[in-house]
This record gives sequence, structure tokens and C-alpha cells, in this order.
Amino acid sequence: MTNMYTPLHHITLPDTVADAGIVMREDKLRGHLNLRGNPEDQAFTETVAKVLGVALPLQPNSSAEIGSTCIYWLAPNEWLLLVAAGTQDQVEADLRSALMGQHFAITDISSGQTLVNLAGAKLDELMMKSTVYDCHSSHFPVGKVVQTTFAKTGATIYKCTDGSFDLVIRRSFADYFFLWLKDASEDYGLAVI
Amino acid sequence: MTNRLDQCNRMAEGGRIDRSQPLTFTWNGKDYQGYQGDTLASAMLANGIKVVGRSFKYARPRGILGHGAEEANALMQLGEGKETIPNPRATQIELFAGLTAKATNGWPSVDFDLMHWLGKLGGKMMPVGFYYKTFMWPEKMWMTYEKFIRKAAGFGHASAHPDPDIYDKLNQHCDVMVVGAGPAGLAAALEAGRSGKRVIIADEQNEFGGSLLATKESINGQSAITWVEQVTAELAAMDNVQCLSRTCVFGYFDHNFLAALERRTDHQGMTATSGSRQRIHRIRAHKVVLATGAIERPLVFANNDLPGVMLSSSVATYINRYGVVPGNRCVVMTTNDSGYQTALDINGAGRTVVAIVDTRQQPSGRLFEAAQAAGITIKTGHAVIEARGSNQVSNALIAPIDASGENVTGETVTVSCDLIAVAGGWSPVVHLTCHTGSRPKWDETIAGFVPGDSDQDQYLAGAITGEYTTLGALQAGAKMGALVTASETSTSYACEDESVCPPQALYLVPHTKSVSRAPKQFVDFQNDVTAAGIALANREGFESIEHVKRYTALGFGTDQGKTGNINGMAITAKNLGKTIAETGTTIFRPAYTPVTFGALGGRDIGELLDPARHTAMHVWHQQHGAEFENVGQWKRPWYYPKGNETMQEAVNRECLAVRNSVGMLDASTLGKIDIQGPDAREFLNRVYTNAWSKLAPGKCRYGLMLKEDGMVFDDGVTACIDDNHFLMTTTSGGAAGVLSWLELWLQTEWPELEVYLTSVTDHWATCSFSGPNARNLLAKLCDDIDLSAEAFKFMDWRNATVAGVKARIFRISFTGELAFEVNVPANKGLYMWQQIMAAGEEFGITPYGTESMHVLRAEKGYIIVGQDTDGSLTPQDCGMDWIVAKNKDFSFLGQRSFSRPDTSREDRKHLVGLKPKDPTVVIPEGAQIVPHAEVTIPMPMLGHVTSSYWSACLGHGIALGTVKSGNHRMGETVYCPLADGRVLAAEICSPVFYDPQGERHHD
Repeated sequence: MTNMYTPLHHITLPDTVADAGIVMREDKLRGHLNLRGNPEDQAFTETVAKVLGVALPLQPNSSAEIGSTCIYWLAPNEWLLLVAAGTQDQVEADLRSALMGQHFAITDISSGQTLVNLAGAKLDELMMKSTVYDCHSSHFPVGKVVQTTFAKTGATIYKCTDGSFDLVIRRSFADYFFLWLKDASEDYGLAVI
Repeated sequence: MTNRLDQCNRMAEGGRIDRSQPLTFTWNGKDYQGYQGDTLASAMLANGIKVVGRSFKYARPRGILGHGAEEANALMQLGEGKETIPNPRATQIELFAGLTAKATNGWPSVDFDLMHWLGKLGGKMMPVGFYYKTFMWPEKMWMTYEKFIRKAAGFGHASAHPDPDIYDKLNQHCDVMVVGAGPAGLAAALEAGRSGKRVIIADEQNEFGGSLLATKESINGQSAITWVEQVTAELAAMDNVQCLSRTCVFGYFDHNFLAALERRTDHQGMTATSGSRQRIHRIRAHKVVLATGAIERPLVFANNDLPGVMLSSSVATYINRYGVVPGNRCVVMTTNDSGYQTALDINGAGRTVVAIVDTRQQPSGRLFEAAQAAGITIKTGHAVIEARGSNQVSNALIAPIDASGENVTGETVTVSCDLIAVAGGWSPVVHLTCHTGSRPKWDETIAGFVPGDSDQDQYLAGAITGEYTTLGALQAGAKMGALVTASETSTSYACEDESVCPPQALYLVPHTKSVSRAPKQFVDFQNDVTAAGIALANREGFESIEHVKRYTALGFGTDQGKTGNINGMAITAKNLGKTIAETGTTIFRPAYTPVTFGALGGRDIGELLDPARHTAMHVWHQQHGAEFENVGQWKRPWYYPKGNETMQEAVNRECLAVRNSVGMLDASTLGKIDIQGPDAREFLNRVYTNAWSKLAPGKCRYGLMLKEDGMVFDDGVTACIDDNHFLMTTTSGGAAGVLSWLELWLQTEWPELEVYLTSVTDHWATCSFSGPNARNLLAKLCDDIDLSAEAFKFMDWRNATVAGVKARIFRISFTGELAFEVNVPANKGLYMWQQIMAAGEEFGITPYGTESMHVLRAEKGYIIVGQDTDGSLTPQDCGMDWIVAKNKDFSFLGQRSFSRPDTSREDRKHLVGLKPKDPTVVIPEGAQIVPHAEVTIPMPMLGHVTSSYWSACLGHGIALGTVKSGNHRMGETVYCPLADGRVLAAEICSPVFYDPQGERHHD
């Protein structure tokens, strides 16, 4: 769609690097829904599980996945639903109607943030440069989600099955994020795909 | 390459240098040669260079004292021009081809120093405590003294150019952090590494081994170096172990957080050819093993600062590690066994040991016997009481002393020598333990301070505990390595006999003359603190060791008194008739050794210093020449100059466009909080001053938020989306603070309210257009709702389709004109902005920035929280009593404060309008407001100007300000005296300058 511009739509790299140590990919226009509700209320959790097809992760820093939907635990009563691009309105409507009469909040924040995948041979060192959180595999297994700092901004960081990291970053900080990434990758080479 | 100097002190073989790789370097303008593996200090000593600088206060010639971080004298000005680095120690600079260094002081040269003669004068003029005495009286003379002192003394200079290098940081995490890679550290890391734990071991030297790099001892039947190489290779091969050489742990903080500086390319040249020159490792460790070793103490005797007086362990290190013997005829003075090994090493290198001068009356044991067997003269119960020489040692005065070490008991003999190696005992490197607040404890048996109790999960191994034998260090390291990994057993080691004869505690070598009459006996070389200076300080009443330190500058240098502190404390204790334990020690602070500012900054410099937040339309603003203003971290368009327009001209044009046709502002930065839940209304009732119970879906309302003290802290418009759903806006800068504030009340005070808050600031992009043509413009893009004034009233909002995009339109106004705010998901923000600009072309739509927004709202008397308010104004002070609902069921935040006498009094400062009497002037913002035109001192202050602008549509200056009792002074004249002598008169008036009836925005 020509009337949509993702937070990182305008970034440019001087030249493409053949054997880049860091590879960045923006998962453009993914649907982001913020869901809040009482995890101890079975009616709430069961209704959500029914609509989404998967139970909400209740353990701190955990996640759940089904098809193209990924759910991040953000807080005891807060989750981020990442859904396929363009389906967020439908998912929101489905949840609203299923949860009618209950106390919950669902908020479309798809334009407020974006999902960026970071991969590459130098990923570990890049993460050590960028975040105070311990991203070592012994401490950050696949499927774990943490909300932490990334340089001087924040990020929600998720470990993918292939060992790469998905980062949710705020739209207004996207330019700063990319400036930092470009600078921190200087020694390794950065490719944007 | 020819050998320009013959490296007269270089041994034919031995040491860890590579003689096949000669390196040329320049010292004070002359070329010399050293080898790969040298430090600058070892290369200088190899070339027979004795004088490396002049002292701080007395400008006395100084030579290399030590071989590492403890070095007090050999501060270098390394490199030239923009690359120059001030004050690194020659002992820690690895030699590279083309290295250039000069002394940091000494003019015209270190060998012939004019300042020396001035220094002799300065020395008399600058007794201990000089700075304090001078600061006290006469105060006005300080500037004069200071110039003289700064010129005469001081060390290197920093480059005035931008640093050509970059620096970065890594955040590290580990189970076990081992600091120091000597025998104890290596043994600990080996144990921990083999257990599979995540281990980091760091050492400031270019290679691991610590004291083992300069020893002839054996471990497990092999040479110590072989053991070091094996262990280092094993550690390097472990995936779970990270080995950091050239990495100095310079700070140890709470919760086992450590900071280390890695010198990545300093050994290759002045600047890095790629990547960072230095890197800071920010290490978070579960357990920390400190194996930082010990530093040898010098002995305090007359003229002990002459070049040629060196630490005994340093002499041994230069011989064994660098193949350099720094003297031909050597006297070794020792209070313990360490000096004997050095004497044997000098002897083994083929140079003359004139004598071992042992202060102990009856030394014995393995090393004593070995020295005897080597035929070395040993003078027991003697001391070198004075060194003599002009620019370097040429003689040593040796005299018998008594067992107490306090008196010379016989005739003095003078021997000729060019090196005096001094072994005054060892000081454990307790510095890091001090960083976390632990105070070192005096240990009488080792005559040194050892680490005190610590709150950290910290383990100690080796010489830091006073365990000075290699075997003891290895075993302690292995034991700690096992302990931190909860292993039952640890590796055992075998070394040859290391039995020691007890040391003598001797901190001030006696002289035939009294301390005050003897030649200077230096305690702290870098700050020229003498035994006599400490005695003077003590006589003048300075008894606390912290006071003595500050009065004398003991331990103040870049070396933090690594060699001088213990002697100074012991001398103080003796002067005061106390024990050292009673006197105690000062404690060390980070950094252990100096750290480059560049490294501390890392990459958080330039445009990475502080994140700049951008709206979805930022690219458009850039393309259209906007100047930007910082609002919090946001970059907001400030104004859009056209051609050669000045800022004022651009702002006038933008304001008039809004008043006469239509202008558009990017309002995306306003904080936005989505509020959902059955108690959302009640929640709003409690956090805002006004009532929210009856706000219907489709309606908006302005709200004022107060802190508990009743003072205004944020404002904004909140829209009712439906009964259980509201959208709150906040100020741009206050968004995060407001969300935290609301969550705090929800989570801690009102958990019974069923409300959820979600930040949607970044999700919505807002195009706010204002002006008489605003409706005509919107009508071109939106045809699915009735835009008429009757159907879509002021303070209504509607869901609608604008330019084919689903949007929320708010009919609210911050300009006083007919205005609409079109909100769309930010992915479509840029598209929407472009569509509105294109549709507005026929009306001459003009983008305007925050400056015009400020003018337009000030013309209407709308406040900006944080500019017109400062946390000390109530709604009533702002003339906004109309927004305070007094009869809500549940009192809103801040309500109770209104009945306080101070908030209810009538003579508070009120926010009022100010109209300059001279219509052409704009009163500077911040100007003080006073009651009289005649300036008298003191003068009662009435308040100050908070906002002030030129109003293009009114044709005169306008201002808002706070004035005492301002609401009761309408029409009165007040005055603003300015720094340039002008006194501007202004009339107090209503803050609403434009369209007081509000007809335009209701249109």
C-alpha cells in the first residue's frame, strides 16, 4: 500500500556488504495489539485462548506462538500480540466481541512500533554492545522475551528459534535505533534485507 | 637500520623480548632503539636513560622507580599534535615502531632544568599545606601564585583537537570474574574454567603471568613460564572462558559490577587503524576473585628520589622479563628476603652487587645463604641512609642502625654505585576492595594493609592477602577457584622451598641528622611529599589520616600513592605516637589507574549522545527546510524559513496564515494514553480537577492535572471514545511522567478501580490545521460526516474517512481559530500530511512550527505547562478556577491543598497578561517584574515574565507573567529592569489578547 510508511522506510546504507556480520530485517507492518486483563480470571484467559488458538503465556518473560501469531508476556496483566500484517483490526474485533462484559483492554499499537530481526555471525557481540541484558544462550533461551534497554532507548527482545533476535522498538526512536545499529556494526558490516 | 645507541644496559640474552624485531623510538627528540616486547620504560633503561622528568614541586630530577601501575615519576607526553596523550606511565606503554615521547615537565630539558633553580625557591615558598594557607590569606594573591605554580609544575597537556580515535563498550556477564592473571588468578581461572562456569579473567599486562613473567622459580618441576604458557593455552581453548589481556579492571562497584579498560591498539601505534582504540568492559559477575597481587614499597631515606633509586622487584623484572640491567654497580637495601633475589639476579646478569644492605640484625635462611654462597657482600643491621649524586645516584651512604630501626649507631661509609635497589616490603593491592566501601585492615604479621570485610560476593587469592610465595598463591588461587564453583577438590601444586625469614617493618630510615635537618626524605614522589612535610602537618595539628592526606597531598597524584601511602601513614602514626592500625588508612576510589575520557564516553557521543525522537512526518519537515526545536527528546519543527527569512519574519508569516486562512502543525508528539475499563470515568474524576461523569461519547474536554500539593503539573484534552474508553493527551515533554504518575495511583492507591492504561503516543500521527479555511479544507478530503458547525461542534470528535484513510477528527483548538486535528495510525501519518498539504494549496496552507504555536496560543492566553507554570502555581493562580470542580464525590488529587493557608491566600503570584507600554518592544522572557521604574537596591520583586512574543496580527508585543496579587492589579503599570539598563513599562491586563469572546474557534 502506497499510503503506508513503516518507521524504518527511509533508511539507507552507503553500500551493501557481501559478508556482513549483522543482518537486519524489518518485519514491516506487522499487526501489534496490546492486551491487558486479569491472568487469574479464567473466563478471561480461556476466552482469549479460544479466540487466538493458543493460551496466553503466564510465566514472566515467556512467549507463545501459533501460526503467524506470536504472544509476548510483558507484565502479569499485559501481553503483546504480534499478528499477521493487516489482520489486527479483525483480531481486535474478535477479542472485543468475545470478551464483551469483562474487564480488559485491547489497543492497536501497530503504527507505534515495529519489529526488527537481527541476525548474523557477530550478533552476540552486537548485543553486548547494545544492551545491558545478558543475551548469552545459557541465559536467554529460545522463546524468552525481555523488555530492557537498547543503547539509550528501550526494546522488547525475543529470541527466535534460529538464534536470531526479534526486537520491538518504538516508532519515534527508530531513527536513533538505526543510527546506533549502523555505528555498532561498523566493525562487522551491516546488511539490510 | 643502524643502532644509534648501543642499548648499553641490554643483556645478550634472556627476557620476553624479541631481539629479532628492533623498534626505533624517539625520546625528547632523540632516536633510540628497543625491541618488540619492551615497555617504553625498559627500552629507556636499556639505553641508559636515567632522568625521565622533573618533580612536581621542587623540580628535582626523577628517574624510573617501578615497572607497572605503581610508577610515580615516569609520566610521559606520548605522541604529538592531535594524537598526543598526556601522562601515561612509561612502565605501562608498550613500545611500538615510531613511538615518540617526551617528558611532561622540565624546561628547557629534563637534564638541565631552569625550573629546578626556581623550584628551590618555590620549595621554600611552598611548604606543605601551601595551597590551604594561600587560599586562606591573602585571597586576592591566589591568582598570582596559581599562574606561577601552574607554569612551574604540573604534568602533561591534553590535545586541543578532537580525538581521532573511537572508543566503545561491551556489557559482559559471567559466573566468575578473576581479576589478575598472576599465579593466583591463573590457578583460580583454571579451576573455574574446568568446571564449565562462564569465566572472565583480565590482566592489565600484555600477557598473562603476573610475577611469574619475571621469576626464575619452577612450578610442578617446570619453569614457571612453561606453566603460564600451558595454562594460558588451556584457558584460551575453553569456550566458557574469556581471556582479556591489556585489560585493567579499574573500578569495582556494588553488586559485583566491575569496569575494565581494554587497550586494544595502544601497543600498535598512536591511533587505531580500524575499530576502537580502547574498550570499556562493564562486567556483571556472580562471584569475583581478586588476585591483584602486591606492590613493593620503597624505603624513605635522604635523597631517595635520585634517579637510580628503584624498587628492588622492578630491577628484577627489568632483568628477567626485559633483559635489561638498569645499573652497573648496585647497592640493594632490603628489609626482607625480596632484595636477596634481586641481588642474585643482578649478580647473575654479570653486573656488580656492591653490597646487600639488610636492615635486619640477623637475617638467615635460603636466600641469605644463596647470596653468601655467591660471594655477595652482606651488611646486616645496616641501612642506606642517604643517596648522593647530582642528576643521578653516584654514591650511597651506609650506616649501622639499631634493631628498632630508629637510630644510626655507628660510622657512615660512602660507597660508589649507580643503582640503589630498595625492598621495603610489600603492600597488597587492596584498591578494588576499597571501591565498594570496604576499609582495609592492618596486618601486623605481613606489615601491610589487607582487604577488610566486604559486602560483595568477593574472594581473595594470593599476594592481595599477604600470601607472597608462589606456591601459596597457586594454592590459594586453586582453592578460591574451587570454592566459587562449589567444587570439593582443587588442583595441588609443587614449588621449590620458599621459606622466608621474617621481614622488618621499617618506614623511615634514620639519618645522622633529624628529619627536619636531613636532606629530603621522599614519601610520595609524584606530589613531592617528604617525611619532614608530614611531620610539619602533624605538628600543625593534622591528626586524622584523611586530613594529613589533604593537607600534604599525600597520595593525590595520578598514581594514587601506590608506593607512598603506607610509608606516609606509618610515619604519621609514629609522629602521633599511635599504631598504624589506630591511624588507619585512607581508602582508594575508582579509577585504579587513569582512564581516558573517550573510553568513558564510548559511542554515546555526537548524534548518539541523546536519542532524537522523530514523528512520522519528520522526513517531510526536513525536506521543507524546517528548523527544529528540542522538546524533551523530540525534534519538533520550530519554524519553516523561506528564502532569506529571519526567524521572526517566518513566524510572522506563519501566524498570519493561521489567522487569515489556514496553517498546519505536526502535533504527533503530544503524549497519548488509551484508558479502558468500567472505572475509567471515575479515574478521570480523581486525576483531573474537573468533572468527567457526564462527558458523552464523541465529546472532548480539557483537563488540568495537579500534584498532591495542588500545583499544576500537566494538562491536555481527553476524548470519550465510549463509556468505558477514553483517550487522554498530555504535554509532549510530560508524557512518560504522566503515565508513571497515573500507574502509580492505579497500582498502589486505587487498585480497586478497573482501569487499564496503554501508551499510544507513537501509534497516532496528528495533523492539526487551524484557520478560517480549516473547514473548507477538511471538506475537500472528508465527505462521510457532516462537518457543519451545528453537527460537528467545538470540542467534538468524530470517526471519519479523510483522504481515504480511517481517521479520528478532533475539533479542538490551541490557536483560537477554527481547528481540526486529524489523527491516523502513524504508518499513514506522512501520507495524510501530504494529502492535506496538497488539498490546502488553494488556501495557501502554511506549515507552522512550535514558535508560531507559542505565539498563537499566547495571543489567546492559553498556558504552556512548564513554561508559564513551574510547579508553584495552582489553577487559581493561573486564573483557571473555572476548571476546578468543588463537589465531586471523591476528592481529586490536589484538592485538599486548596484549603492550606498558603494556597488560599489572596496575594499569591497570579498569571496575568502584560502589555508593553511601548508597542514596539518585546519584553525578554525571564525579565523580573518590579513595582517602580527607579532602580533601587534592594527592590521588592513582584514576579517574572514567563512568555513574551511579537504578535503579528495585533501589531504589538504581548507577554504573560506571574505577578503578586496580579488578579487584583488589572490596569496597573509594572516595570521590567533589564541588564542593558533599559526599564520597560507594561500594563497588567487579561491574558486573553485576541478574540476574548472565543467566536472564532466556535465558528
